[in-house]
Amino acid sequence: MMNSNDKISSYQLGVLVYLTVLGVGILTLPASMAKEVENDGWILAIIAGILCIGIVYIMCKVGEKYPQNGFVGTLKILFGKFLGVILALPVFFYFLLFTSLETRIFGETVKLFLLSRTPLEFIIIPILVVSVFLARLGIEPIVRFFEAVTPAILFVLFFLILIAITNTDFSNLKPVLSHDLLSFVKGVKSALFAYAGFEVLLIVFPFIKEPNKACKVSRNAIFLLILAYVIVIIESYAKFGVKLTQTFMYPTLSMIKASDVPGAFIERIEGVLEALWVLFVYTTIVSLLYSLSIVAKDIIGHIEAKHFVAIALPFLYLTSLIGDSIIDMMQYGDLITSTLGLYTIFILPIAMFIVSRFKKAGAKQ
Amino acid sequence: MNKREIIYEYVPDKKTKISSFLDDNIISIKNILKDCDDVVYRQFKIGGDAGQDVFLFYIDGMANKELLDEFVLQPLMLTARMVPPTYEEIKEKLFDASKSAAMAITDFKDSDYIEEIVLAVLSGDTAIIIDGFEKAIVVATKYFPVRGIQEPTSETVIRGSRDGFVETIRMNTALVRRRIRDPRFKIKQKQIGVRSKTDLAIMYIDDIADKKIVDEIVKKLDAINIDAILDSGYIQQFLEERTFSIFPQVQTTERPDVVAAAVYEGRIAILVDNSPFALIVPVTLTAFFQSPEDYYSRSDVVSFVRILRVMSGGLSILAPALYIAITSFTPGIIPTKLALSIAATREGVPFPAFIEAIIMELTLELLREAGVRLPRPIGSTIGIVGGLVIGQAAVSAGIVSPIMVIVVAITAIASFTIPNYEVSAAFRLVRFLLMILATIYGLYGVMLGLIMVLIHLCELKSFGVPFLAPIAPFEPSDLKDSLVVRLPWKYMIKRPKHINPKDEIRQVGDEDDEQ
Repeated sequence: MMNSNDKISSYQLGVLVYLTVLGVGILTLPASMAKEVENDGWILAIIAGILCIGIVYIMCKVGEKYPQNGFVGTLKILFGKFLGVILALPVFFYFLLFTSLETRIFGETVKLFLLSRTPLEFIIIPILVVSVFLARLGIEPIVRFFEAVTPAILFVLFFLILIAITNTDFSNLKPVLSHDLLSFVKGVKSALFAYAGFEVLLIVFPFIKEPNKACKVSRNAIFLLILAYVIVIIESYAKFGVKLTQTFMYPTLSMIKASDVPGAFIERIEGVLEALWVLFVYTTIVSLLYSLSIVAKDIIGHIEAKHFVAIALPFLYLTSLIGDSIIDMMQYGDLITSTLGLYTIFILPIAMFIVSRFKKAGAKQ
Repeated sequence: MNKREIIYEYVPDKKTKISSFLDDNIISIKNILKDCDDVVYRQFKIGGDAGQDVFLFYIDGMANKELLDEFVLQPLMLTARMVPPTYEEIKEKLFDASKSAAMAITDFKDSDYIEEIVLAVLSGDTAIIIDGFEKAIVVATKYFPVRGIQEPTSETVIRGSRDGFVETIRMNTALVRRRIRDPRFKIKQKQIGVRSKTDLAIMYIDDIADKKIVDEIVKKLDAINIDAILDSGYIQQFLEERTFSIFPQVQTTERPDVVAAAVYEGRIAILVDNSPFALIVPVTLTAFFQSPEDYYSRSDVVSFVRILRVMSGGLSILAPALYIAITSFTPGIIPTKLALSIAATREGVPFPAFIEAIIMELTLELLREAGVRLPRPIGSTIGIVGGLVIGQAAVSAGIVSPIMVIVVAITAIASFTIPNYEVSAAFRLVRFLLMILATIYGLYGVMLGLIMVLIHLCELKSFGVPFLAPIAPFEPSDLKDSLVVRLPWKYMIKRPKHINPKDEIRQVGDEDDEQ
C-alpha cells in the first residue's frame, strides 16, 4: 500500500534464483551424472555451473541495456513486434511444461515416501492450488515468502549433507578425469538442466531495484548451487559407488535412507526429509508459475498477470499427468529440456545478446 | 446584539450563539437537557442583590463539587464583594474580571456556542454564563470515579514496572509522558463517535516516527463514523487493513512501558478513553513474541527464553497435527518401540486419531473458555474437573489414548508461553487447520498447511511494514533484536530499520561497537 509492491532487492534476487533452481533436480542429479560420465560426474556439475554463470552474464548484459522493458518487451525491441512474440511462445510452453514436470516428479516422490496409497492426482492438485495462492500475489510477497523459508531450506540442506556423510568411502571417487573431452561435451547438456530455473532472471529483471548488481548476486547464487550439487554428488558416489548410484531413481533420498544416525529419535529420516522437500519444490513451482504468467501477460497484452496464474492451473494439472509412469515422464522431460529448454536457457539469451550488440543504445524507451 | 434564538430541540453539529439574554440561554439549555436528571443547575448573583445574574450547570458525579464551591462560587459570591474594585466599577467587563481576578482555577476555556458548552458539561466540565455576555466560561472540573493504577493482569512480568493503564485517558497519557520527557513527543487528541464523543490520543515522537504512517492513521480515524466507541478494540478493527485475517495487525498492551518503548522505536500508539488497552502500530510478528521483560533482563537469558518461545509457538501449532499424521500415515518415522507402544495404547480407542485429537483439543478449548468466564473462586474447580476428571476418566474409559492426553497438555502449556493473547488465539485456529490437513494428507498436508499460513503472513502488512520483517524482507541489522536473540543494549545502536524511523540512531556511540 505505502511501499511499492513490485521491487526486489539484490539479496531477494539471489534468494529467488537459488530457490528456483533448487527443486527436484538435486534428488536425481547424482544418478544422471553417473550415467553420463561416471566418476567425473561432480566435475561435469561444476562445468555446467560455470557455463550457467556465463549465460547469466549474457542475460544481465541484455537486461542492463533494456532494464524496464521486460522479457517479451525486449524481444519485441530486438526482433520486431511479430517475431518477438513468436520467439516468446516457446518460452511460455517451456515454463508450462517445466512446471508440470517438476510437479509430476515431486508427486511421484511424495507417493513413494509418504502417501503410498493416495492417488497421484490428489497429491498434485493441492500443491498446484497452493502455488496459485502465492503466485497470484505478485513478485513482492513471493520473494518475501522465499526469504522466510530460506533459513529452513538451508538448515535442511545442511542437515542432509551432514547425515549423509556417515558410512562413506571416498576412494569410490577414483579415478578422477578418466573421460575424454567429448563425453563431457555430450554430458554437459543434461547437467545444464540441473541448473534450469535461473532463467527467471530474464523475467524478473524489470523488478530489480539495482540492476547493475543482478549479475553478481545471481552468480553467487549459482556458486552456492554448484557447491550443494557437488557435495551431494560426491557423497552419493562415496556412499554407494558409481555403479550403484546409476541404478537409483532418487539417489539423494536413498542416500539418506542408507544413512544411520546413531542415537537419533527419528527412525526414517527420508520420510521427514521428503516432507520438508515440499518447500524446495514449492518455491520452484511458484517461481516458474509466476514467470509463466508474466510471459503470458506480455504476449497477449496488458491484462493482470495474476489471471493467467489461475488459468494455467488446469493445463498444469493435465500436462503433469502425461505418461503412465515416472519413466515415461522422465523421457518426455528429456524431450522438453533438450528442445524447449535448450532454446530458452541457451539459444535465445545468446541470440538476444548478439542482436542487442548491434542495436543502438538509443533503443531504450 | 444578535437576534433572540431559543433552542427547542437538540440538533447535532448545529452551532447556536450564546445569547446576551441569560433567560433565553437557560431555556435553551434546559430544552436540550430535558429529562437528564443528573444535571445540576445553579443560578446566583455577582455583586449582591443588585448585581448580575449568573447561571452555572454541571453533571452530578462528573464534576468536582468541592472545587466549584470553594474556588468558583465562594470567590464570585462573597470574596469579590469584600475587596475592591466594587461591582459597579467593573460592571461592563465582568466576564473578564471574574475570569482573571476572581476564580482561582487553572484550567478555563471560553466558548461561544451553546452546543459546545453542553458537550463540555457532558464530559464533566462546568459551564458558567453571565447575563449580558455572549459567551460562557467552561471550567475544567472533571472529577469522576476512577480505578487506581494496578498491575496489569494480562501482561505480568517479574522484572519491570508494575503500573498499568486504567480507564481514564488523562491518567494514561500521564503515565506515558512520565517516561518520555521530550517536547518532540506528541499527544494528538481527537474525539470519535457521533454520540459517545470518546476521547482518543495519537502518540508519537515527531522526529522518529514515520510521518506517512501518522497521516494514514489520522485519515483512517477521520473516516470512522460510528455512533459509539466503547473500547480500543473498536478502533483496532477499523485500523486493520486485512479485516479477515486471523492475525492481529495492531498490537495491544496494558503497559505504559511497552507503549513508551514502542514510541521510542518510531511506532505510533493510540490511547482510547474508557479502555486500559493501548494500540500500537505498525507491528510485526516478532513483536508479539516479545515480552517487555526481554529488554530489562540480561540478554543471554532473554535469547534463550526467546528461542524457547518460538519453539513452543511451533509446538502449539504442530503437536496434534504431527500426532495425527504420524500415527495414521507414517508410523515408520518414529522409532519402532515408540510406534508400537502408541499403537498399543490406542488399541482400545474406538476413534480414528483425528476424532481423538479433536475431542481432546476441543475439551481443552472449553476448559480454557470456562476458566476465563467463571468467577474466580469457582474457576479453580474447573482446573480440577478438567485436568483430573476428564483427562483421567477419558483415558480409563478408553475414549482417548494417554499419549493424546500428553500431546494436548504439551500444546496447552506451549501456547501459554506466547506473550500475546491474540496471537496465541490465532495459533489455536491454525492448529485446527493443520489437524484437518494432517488427517487428509499426513505430513504432506502439514507442510501444505504451514505453507498456506506462511503465504498469508508474507502477504500481510501492518501500515506498510511487512508482517514478517525483519526476516522477510531480510534486514540483517534488525536481527539484533528479533525472534531468537536480543543483544545487550550496548550493541543495539540503531532503531529497528523495518519500521522506517526518521532518525535511525538510538545511541550516539562508537561506530566500531556495532561490528
